[in-house]
Amino acid sequence: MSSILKLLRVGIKRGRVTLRYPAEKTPTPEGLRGRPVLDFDTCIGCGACAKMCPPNALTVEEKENVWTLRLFYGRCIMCGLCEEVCPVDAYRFSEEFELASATREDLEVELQLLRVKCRGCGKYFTTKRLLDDTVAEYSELAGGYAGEFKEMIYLCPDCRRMDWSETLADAYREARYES
Amino acid sequence: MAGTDYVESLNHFIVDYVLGWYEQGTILIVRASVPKGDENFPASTPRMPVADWYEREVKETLGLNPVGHPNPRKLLTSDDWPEDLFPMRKSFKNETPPPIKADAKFPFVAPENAGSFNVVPYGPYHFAIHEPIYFRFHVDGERITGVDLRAGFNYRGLEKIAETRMSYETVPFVAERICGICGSVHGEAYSQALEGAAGFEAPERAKWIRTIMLEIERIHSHLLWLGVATHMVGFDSGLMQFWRVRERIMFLAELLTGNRKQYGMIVPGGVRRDIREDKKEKALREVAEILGEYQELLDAALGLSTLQSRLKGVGYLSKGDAEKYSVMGPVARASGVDIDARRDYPYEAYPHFEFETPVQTGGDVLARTVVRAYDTLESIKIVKQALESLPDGPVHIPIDYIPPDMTSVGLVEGPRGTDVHYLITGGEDTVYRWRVRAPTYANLPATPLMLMGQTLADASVVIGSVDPCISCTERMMVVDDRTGEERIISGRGLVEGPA
Repeated sequence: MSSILKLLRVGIKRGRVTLRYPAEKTPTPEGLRGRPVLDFDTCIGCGACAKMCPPNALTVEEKENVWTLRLFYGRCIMCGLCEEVCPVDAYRFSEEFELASATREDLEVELQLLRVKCRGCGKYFTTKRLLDDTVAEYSELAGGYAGEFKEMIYLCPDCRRMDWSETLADAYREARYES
Repeated sequence: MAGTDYVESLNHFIVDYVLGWYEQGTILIVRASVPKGDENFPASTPRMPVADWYEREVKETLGLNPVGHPNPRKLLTSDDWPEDLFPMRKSFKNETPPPIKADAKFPFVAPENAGSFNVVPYGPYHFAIHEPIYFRFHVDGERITGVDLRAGFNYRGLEKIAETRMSYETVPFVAERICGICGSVHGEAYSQALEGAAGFEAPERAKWIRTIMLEIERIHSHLLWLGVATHMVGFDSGLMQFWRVRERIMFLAELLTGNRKQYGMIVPGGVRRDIREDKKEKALREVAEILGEYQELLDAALGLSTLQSRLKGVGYLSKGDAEKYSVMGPVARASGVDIDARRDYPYEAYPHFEFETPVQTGGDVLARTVVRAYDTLESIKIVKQALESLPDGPVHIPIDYIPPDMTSVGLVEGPRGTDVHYLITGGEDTVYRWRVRAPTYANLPATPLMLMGQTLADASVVIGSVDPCISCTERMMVVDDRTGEERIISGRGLVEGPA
C-alpha cells in the first residue's frame, strides 16, 4: 500500500482528538500542580515559603504590628517548594491552571497577620500565631518549666539572649559565693 | 570552556577548557590562569574552530582577551552594551542597569564582490524559527553564497542570578527554565555536577525515575521537532499526527510529575516525587499504546516519497566538518559521527537498559529526521524497561556537605545533543561559577556550513534541522536592540517608539 494511503488510514482510524475547549474541560490528572492556594486560617506566618521561593513570587513585609505575605501568581512557577517547606501544610496545589487575567490585581493574594511586641524591649518581632503555635506544640516538652517557657517565648531573640546570659551570669556568681 | 573571576581571592582569572573524548569516555580539563592587569591569553580558535564562540563569550563577559582570535565580535551581549563592562565579573552587581551606548552597530561581514550580491535578512523574529536569532544571507539569485549570524537576543543573565541570589537547592528550578523543551536535561546536568562535587550518589530508585523523566522529555522533544519539520516543508498532516502522539506523552508527564513541562522533579539528592504503584501501571499501559500509535505513524509518514525527495540532499554537513565543529546529538549522528553520552559517559540508570543509538551517514536533513525518528522509538523502549524494573527504596536523600572550591562537570545527553554543566562550588550554600553549555551552542556555529549553496527556500528547514534552541544557547537579559538591515533601534528607542 502506498504511504499516502497508509497515512490516510491512520487519520481515519484515530479520528478527531481535539476538544471543544474552553466549552469542554481539559482532563487533568490527579496530583497536578496548578495554582497554589494558601489557607489563611492555617498559616502561622513563619515566612519559610518566602525564603525558599525561587522566583520571589512570595514576599514578606514586616511593618510595625502587621506582618504581610504577598503571593503574586504572575511570578509563580508552580514548583511546589512552598508546599514542601510549610511546617503547617497551609499550601495546597489546586487543579486550576487557567490563570490568564487582564489585570495584575487579579493575580495577587495578600495575607496580613498581627505581630506581637517583645515583653522586654517593646519592639515588634514576630507574629502572634507563630508564638501561639509554638506554645501549643512545645509547652508539654518544657515539663515543670512550662511557666518559664511561656515567659521566655514572648521575648525577642535579642532580649532572649540577654535574659539567658544574665541568668547564666547569676548562676555562676551564686556558685562562686557558695564555694 | 569557561572563565571564572578569582580576582578577589587570588588576584587572577582562570580559564578552563573542558575536553571530552567520547570513544574513551574521558574528560580532560585544561586550566590556565590569566593575571589581573594583563588580561590576555592565546586563542585556540585558529587550531580548534570549536573554541570560536566560547572564546568570544569569555572576552565579552569576563574581559579576557583571546589573542589571535580570527573573529572577535560580540556574541551574547547586545550591541548597545558597553564594551568595558563585563557581566560575569564578580565586581559587576546584577542590580546595576548598564549605561546604554545609543549609536552602537554590529559589524556584519560584508559580502565579497558586493555589487552583484544581495543581502537578505532572516530574523531575529521570523515565522519559521520561532526564536530570536538573526541570519544574514548573501544571495546570488536563489542560491545562498554567504552567511553571517548574530545571536545574543535571549541573553538573560541566568548564570549571574544563580551565582548571586540562589542557593544550591533552588538553582535546579532556574536551570529547568533555561529551556522550555529540555528542562529536565538542565536540571539533571546541574544535579549531576553538584553531586559529583559532593561525592554523593543518588539512591537507586531516584536514578530510575530520573532516567524515565529524561527519556520522556526526549520523546516529546523529538515528536515536537518532527511535527515542526513536517510543517516547515508543507506537510501539515505530519504536524497534526505527530503532535497527536506527542499529546499523549505530555499527559504521561503530567500524570507522573504534576506538570506538562518544567517538571521540577530532578534536584540534587534525588527526585521530588515518587511514582506510585497505580500510576506506574497506568503509565505502562500508556507507553504500550504510545509505542503502537507511533510505529503505525512512522511507517506511514517516513515512507512518503514526497517527504523523502523534499529532504534528501538538503543542508549537507560532512562527517569531517561535523567532527571539526564538534556538533552534538542527532546532528552529529546524522553525519556518521557515532556519539551518545548515554552510552559513552554512562550516568543514572542507562547502563542497566538495552538501547541502540541510531546513526546515519547521509548528513542531510533527511538523515537528521530519520535519526530523530528512530531515537524516539529507542526512548519509548527505555521508558518501558525503566518502568518495569523500577527498584524499591528512597527517592531523595539530602546531601550533607558540599565542599567549597570543587570543579565539577555534569554531562547529559539531551534531545539536541550533550548538555554540559560546569560548576565551581562556593561557600555559604551558593555556586561560585555555573557555566551552561547547551547542545545548540555547539550546533549553531555549523549552520552556515549547511546553508552554503542551498536555496533560500530551504533555509528554514535547514536551520530547523538543527532543532535550534536559542534560549538554551544564550541562557541569559532582555532583548534591548533590534538589528534591522541598516538601522538599529536601541532599547530606549523600542520603548519610546520610532523617532
